[in-house]
Amino acid sequence: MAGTALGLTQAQTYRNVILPQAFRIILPPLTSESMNIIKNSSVALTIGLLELTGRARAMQEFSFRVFEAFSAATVIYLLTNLVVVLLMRALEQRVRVPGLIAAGGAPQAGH
Amino acid sequence: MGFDFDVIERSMPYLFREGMTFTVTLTLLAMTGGVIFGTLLAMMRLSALKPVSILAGAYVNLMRSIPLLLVIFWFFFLVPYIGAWITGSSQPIKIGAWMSAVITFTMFEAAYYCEIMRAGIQSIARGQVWSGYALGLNYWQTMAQIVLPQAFRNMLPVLLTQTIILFQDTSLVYVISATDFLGAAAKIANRDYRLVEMYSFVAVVYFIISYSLSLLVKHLQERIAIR
Repeated sequence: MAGTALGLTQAQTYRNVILPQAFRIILPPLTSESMNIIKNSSVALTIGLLELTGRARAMQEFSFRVFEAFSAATVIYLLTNLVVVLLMRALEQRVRVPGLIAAGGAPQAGH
Repeated sequence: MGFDFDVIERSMPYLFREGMTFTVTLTLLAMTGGVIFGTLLAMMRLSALKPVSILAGAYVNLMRSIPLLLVIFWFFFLVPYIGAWITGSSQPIKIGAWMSAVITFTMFEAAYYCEIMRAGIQSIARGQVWSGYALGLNYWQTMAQIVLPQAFRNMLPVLLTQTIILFQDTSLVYVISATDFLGAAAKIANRDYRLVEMYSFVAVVYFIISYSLSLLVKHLQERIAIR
């Protein structure tokens, strides 16, 4: 409304007013969603793509070292997710919309 | 070669009697176990005892940051060794894909149900807990008779949504060669070389079930909303 009153077109309102705020507000759910993407990439194993879990499984089949192979994969996933969380938290701090209280998100179903 | 409906029709009894039974039983067992275990975990996370809440928090965060597929592998390959270690036998115990799948999904989903239940418990006004204590109820009585019934009611739609996701996720047991609905269809598809037909049929069935469940969730959401 205020955007329209200032003489901005709808596209300009989106570009300069709405989206810059929206992208900053959605950062927390975006964090969990990017973690989900990292985790769900393991499903690519089912079509034979050799990603992290696939390689761990290949390692285990090759060497019968079950613990070592899966521990390595687990640690790598944990570290990757930790990096994502820390980066996103830093980003959140940097671009926080002044004057808004960071809302505790509603619970979300996920996997 | 056109789209062959006959192969679907022929394999229908096998798909539903073997495959769907497995999928649905696994979903229901994992849901029941997951909700119970998840509620306990949520109570632990909200506990005033620091070590207890740290322990539960560590478990939930660990489970939530590794992929389900990896958890399935972990349990499938490790549970026999852990079982052997507990019972003190030198040979890994035989556990089978079915038990392994049930344990995995219960443990994994408990972490997600825990977060939902935690939000549910936290949505209850603190005064109600104090009123419970004032009436002379102990912690367990307050939880069981005052807090949890309301928490369940508030969180029912999210719990059901999580169950829909669980239902879809059970198709991953195919990596440990358990025959769920997808696994049964994949077997027929490979045997009769009817991949397009079988996988389309599976997709349609999963869609119908998940979509009607999510309509039910939407309906429930409107009906049970408090105030």
